[in-house]
Amino acid sequence: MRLIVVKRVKTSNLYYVGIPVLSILAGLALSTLIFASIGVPPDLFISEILAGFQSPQTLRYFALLVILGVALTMSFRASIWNIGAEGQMIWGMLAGGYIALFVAAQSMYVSPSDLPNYANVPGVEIIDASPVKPVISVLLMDPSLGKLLMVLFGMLAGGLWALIPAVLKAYLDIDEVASTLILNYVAYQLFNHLVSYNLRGLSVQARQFFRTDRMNSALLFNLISGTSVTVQEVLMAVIFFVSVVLMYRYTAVGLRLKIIGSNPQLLRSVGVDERRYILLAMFLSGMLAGAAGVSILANPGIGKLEKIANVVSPPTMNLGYTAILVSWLSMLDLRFVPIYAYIVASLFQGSSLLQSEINSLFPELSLTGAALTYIPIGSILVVYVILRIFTEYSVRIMR
Amino acid sequence: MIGEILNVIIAMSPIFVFLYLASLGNSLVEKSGILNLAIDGAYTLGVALVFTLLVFVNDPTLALLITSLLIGLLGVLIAFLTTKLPISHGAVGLSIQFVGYGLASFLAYPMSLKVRAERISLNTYLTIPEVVLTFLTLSVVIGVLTYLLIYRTKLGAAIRAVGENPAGASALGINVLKIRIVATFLGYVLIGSASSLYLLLYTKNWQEGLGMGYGWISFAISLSSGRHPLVGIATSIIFATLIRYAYVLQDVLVGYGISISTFIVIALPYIAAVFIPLVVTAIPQLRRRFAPPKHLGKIFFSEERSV
Repeated sequence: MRLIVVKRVKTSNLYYVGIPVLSILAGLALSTLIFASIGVPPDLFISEILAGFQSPQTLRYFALLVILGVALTMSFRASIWNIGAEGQMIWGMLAGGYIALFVAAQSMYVSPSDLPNYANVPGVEIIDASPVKPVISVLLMDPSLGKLLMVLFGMLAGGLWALIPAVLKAYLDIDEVASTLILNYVAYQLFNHLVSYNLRGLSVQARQFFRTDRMNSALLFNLISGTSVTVQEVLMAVIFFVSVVLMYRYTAVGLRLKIIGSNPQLLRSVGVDERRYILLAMFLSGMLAGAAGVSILANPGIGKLEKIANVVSPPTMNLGYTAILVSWLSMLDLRFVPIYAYIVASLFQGSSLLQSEINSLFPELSLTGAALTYIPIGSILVVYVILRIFTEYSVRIMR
Repeated sequence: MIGEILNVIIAMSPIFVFLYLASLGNSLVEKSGILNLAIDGAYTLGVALVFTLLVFVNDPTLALLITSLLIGLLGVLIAFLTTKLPISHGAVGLSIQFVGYGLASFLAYPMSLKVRAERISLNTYLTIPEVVLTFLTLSVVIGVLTYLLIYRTKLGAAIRAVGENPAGASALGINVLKIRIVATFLGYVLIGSASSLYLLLYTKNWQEGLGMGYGWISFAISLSSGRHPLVGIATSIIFATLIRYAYVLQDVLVGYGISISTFIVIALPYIAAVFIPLVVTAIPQLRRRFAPPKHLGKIFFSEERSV
């Protein structure tokens, strides 16, 4: 008996839905086994992952993963493997943070005796009520304009950072997977530098702490009650999703962005410089990632930038990598991005629920967040990558 | 004078050794046509494995050997998947990278808590001149052997043939899968030993995330040396200098009134990893000579095949 792999004449639609679902199940089963090997009860693992599907916290990751999923799908469809969403988010945070802390509002020292006078002044907020050197933040512009500027500059910064590997790819033919990934590490360190020196807060008195001031709360995004997702985040996810879908469907630019992925020769033969579209795909992708970065920063739960102590746990929460999963599971089809963004967001939230549960029930197991997110995500990806061949190939048994 | 030069060599050797060995491994893997995007995951996992094993066996050499072997087996898995099935090399590599990151924390973090709680002293290699110079010599010897293997033996010719044109090689009777498995196994053994030496000879202890990024630096070294084992020596020296002496540069610059932060110093090798490959592409002669294998990262799959 032999197994024969045969190429399909038409790609299979059945597998379009079946394979991602099967990969998720098989990947989760694999991770259950890995964690069970050191004593995490499988039923706890499964129940916490399922709890992720109903947790109100999931909505926040959902909105972010829709934005990032759209961002990555745009570049992946153009056959540009942008693994640098992490770095682009970091730049979005930095640019958004700069606007929030220095342009739309400004922190300043006041004398301790004056402090009570500022308590009820509109547009002024006491950031640090220290008895020695109190710090206030003064709004310099309309907060909605400030928020808009934060998002715009964050998008610009993310897009520009993405242009570095794009130029290398388009004009010098340097593989973008490695360069986008390595640039993430560069972005983390530059973030640390800027946060520790240029953006360092006035309220940070202790010498060993490196962080910015707290943002003026008028510039924070508005939470939807009962959740940790913000109105602006959801709005951005909807706007980006709809406009990118429309761009692909109705514009020449969208069509060309699709074609460079499948048939760059065609573009060249009709006189289009395909290198420009490589730059465009990466720029747009980086812009959306930058917007995601701003919305992480402007979440009322965060509101400041802090030095990254360990590259395993950056402020981007590794969502830039997690979003690869969303994009791949959707088979690079935008219509599926929200569906898989929700599933992946639930897994992401489920694994953090699992972590806190394990820490309280079995402190001796000492599992870290990195293990609990990377193992399930990696396992699902490996299974998916292997099963994916069934969309284009079929396996027959010959006797 | 000679004493000073020797001191510099001794100070740089550990860094050179782990960078060079991993880049050698990467060259060997990529010569056979497999795009090696799992390298950083394998590296991080290797660092975690050797640390975990060291706590158990308390013998650095034994821990190094077992780690190298296990990472080598990971390489075999990658060679099998990318050669036997029509899968994207990049996708397999990245997925395995993430599993590697996860497993690294999973294995070594509990062990690091144990080491701290029980005050276990780790039996790593001593950084004394004799030991360091032995590893330096060994790594250069391995480099020369790898060169001879790739360019002077029948197996090496087969590895290059499989990387340039697997279908042609297959038609001439070369078993593509077998050759790729051998090349990737050897390559990953080198990556495994490099990651082990990173811990045993350099950091001497483990913390979460240790090794992340160093796989990519080695990848960049291999890329900018055109995957040539002997050219890799020069490129590795450049990167080792950068990692070892960037702090000195920081001091020197302060003298001229320019202050760069420690974070920039940490970022320097990564910045170099992105931009040094540019030098190769900018010079036409180098570009031709250092061209990647023609079939690197392409799916090798005849339309119908039995598995």
